[in-house]
Amino acid sequence: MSELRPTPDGGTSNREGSAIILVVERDPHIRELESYFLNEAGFAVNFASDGLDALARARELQPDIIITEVLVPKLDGLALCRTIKTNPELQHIVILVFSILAVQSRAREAGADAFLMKPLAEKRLVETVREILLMRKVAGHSGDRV
Amino acid sequence: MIKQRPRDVSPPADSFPRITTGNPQADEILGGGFPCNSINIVMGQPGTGKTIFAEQLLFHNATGDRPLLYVTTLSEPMSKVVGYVQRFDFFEPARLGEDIQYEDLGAALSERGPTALTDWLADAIKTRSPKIIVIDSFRAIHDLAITTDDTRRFISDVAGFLSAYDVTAFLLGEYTQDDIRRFPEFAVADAIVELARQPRSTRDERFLRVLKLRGSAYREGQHAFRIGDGGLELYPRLVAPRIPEKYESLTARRPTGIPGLDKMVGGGFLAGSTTLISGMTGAGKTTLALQFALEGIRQGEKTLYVNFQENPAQLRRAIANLGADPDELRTHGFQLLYASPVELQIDSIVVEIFEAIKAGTISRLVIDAIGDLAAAASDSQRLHDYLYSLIQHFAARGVTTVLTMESGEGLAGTAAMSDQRFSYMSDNLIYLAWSAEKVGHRTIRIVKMRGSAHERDIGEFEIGGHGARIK
Repeated sequence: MSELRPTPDGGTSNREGSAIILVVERDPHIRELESYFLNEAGFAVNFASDGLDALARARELQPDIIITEVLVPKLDGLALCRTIKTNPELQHIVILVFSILAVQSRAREAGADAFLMKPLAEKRLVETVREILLMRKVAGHSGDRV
Repeated sequence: MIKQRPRDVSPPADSFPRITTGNPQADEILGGGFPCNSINIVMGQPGTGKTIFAEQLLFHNATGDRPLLYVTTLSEPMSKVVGYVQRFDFFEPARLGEDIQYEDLGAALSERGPTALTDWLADAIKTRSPKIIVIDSFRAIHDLAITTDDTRRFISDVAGFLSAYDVTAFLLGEYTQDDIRRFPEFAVADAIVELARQPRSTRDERFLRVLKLRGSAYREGQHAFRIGDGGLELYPRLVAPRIPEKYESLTARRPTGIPGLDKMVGGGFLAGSTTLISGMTGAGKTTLALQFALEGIRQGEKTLYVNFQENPAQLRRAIANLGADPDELRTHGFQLLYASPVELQIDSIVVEIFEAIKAGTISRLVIDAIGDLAAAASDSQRLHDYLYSLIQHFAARGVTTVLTMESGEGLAGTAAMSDQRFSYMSDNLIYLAWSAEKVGHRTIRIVKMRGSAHERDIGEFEIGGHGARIK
């Protein structure tokens, strides 16, 4: 299967054999940079611009990780987190809250697996994603994409 | 589901990381420096020091971990920017190329318009992970013929990329005050710093002013600076201490060096008080001030004598006339600070005095004469504010101070205190006069002695071989 390039406008980019990441973010500049850095690191990146869209895509794609901003329309990032973590079919998905808001404890209460504060720094983002994927693998949810 | 404690790899939410300007005084004015991951505008007319300010900042932040980018646009040729920076002490040639990267976008902007900058910015962020980006001049991009909509889109893109990524940006430009309302970059800026140059008599004075700093306190007002080999040398505007640094009842007396005067003021000046000695030319102000200073040395107190009147040679002579050895005085803690009234820059002299006091070892201070400071000050309100703040700092630190000031005629009345602003800020007020009719007839009057009983009658005094003596 050939490699598809990232589509910051919301489409799917995929790489055979790589972990799938669903990014929930509405800022086009952050989407562009996140897409670039995660793709460069070898991840397949998908986008959703609001919480409800993210929920639908999560069901459809079964991503390894969801990276979500808190401030997204329709269903905010923390509500999205709670919804996913209480859904037996989706709760295995790792959630990284990546926000401009300092909501570490609220993210934890919502069930997030990791929290990262903006601005985007590619090293921190990519290392965090790699670490939580590794943790997921160790915990027995490796799947065949990691 | 992973049952592990969520990882938090972010910096603490309450921390407010800063980027140093490379200049401790500028950092102090900015409350610690520019906020990290911010967009900052440095504005000012050509020749005000914007480029030097930015380059000083870059070289001080070059640590080799991530590159710092300086991009020139349409007004400032890169060759000039790079060429002149070599003259400054902070320049390190080894930093060029890897740590600090200069680029010229002039041709690309002329050819493709503002898109050339946004494309460059996105690419630089993706491929070089810059820590700091300086765009010089950002204002010049407005000179490209683009519509208002295009301008807004361009600014939105620039601000979007700069805000999204972990980078601190400086947009330099020859902006005017009117531009602040006109151009949208001022709305997205986290900090706005203005550099200005104003002609004052025969010389120019430069000022730095912070117009905006989001999320942080800063020191308002004009802060004088000059450009030296080390870049900007700043003299932050002095403000009065909010809380006394040393709050204790200072009831001890500091002998004046003139026994008769001590008797008139209740045993000497109260420690930490400020005394203004005012009087006509030749009335004996400097003699009294010198005796106060020499008495300090006799009492084992370190003394700073700030002098604008006599040059060091003249002052040595005056000290010798009072029976003291100037060289020996120095070994006992007598410091002399001389500045020619012609070259006097009020900000630098006030900061120098303040730094000496801040060091904490000075107990007595003489400023002879504040009239010279007033004459050098282009702005009398500014001088007044400075002196008021200085006096508050002296009081808070227990420094006993004597100021001298030349005043107009009037034998012994407060009416002669032509400048009430200086007299009201002093705790004590002494007026000296001499009689035009009666040669050698000098008078002294204690006009005010805050918190202390004092002689109310006009006294007579003479100046002889060992200074002033109350009759």
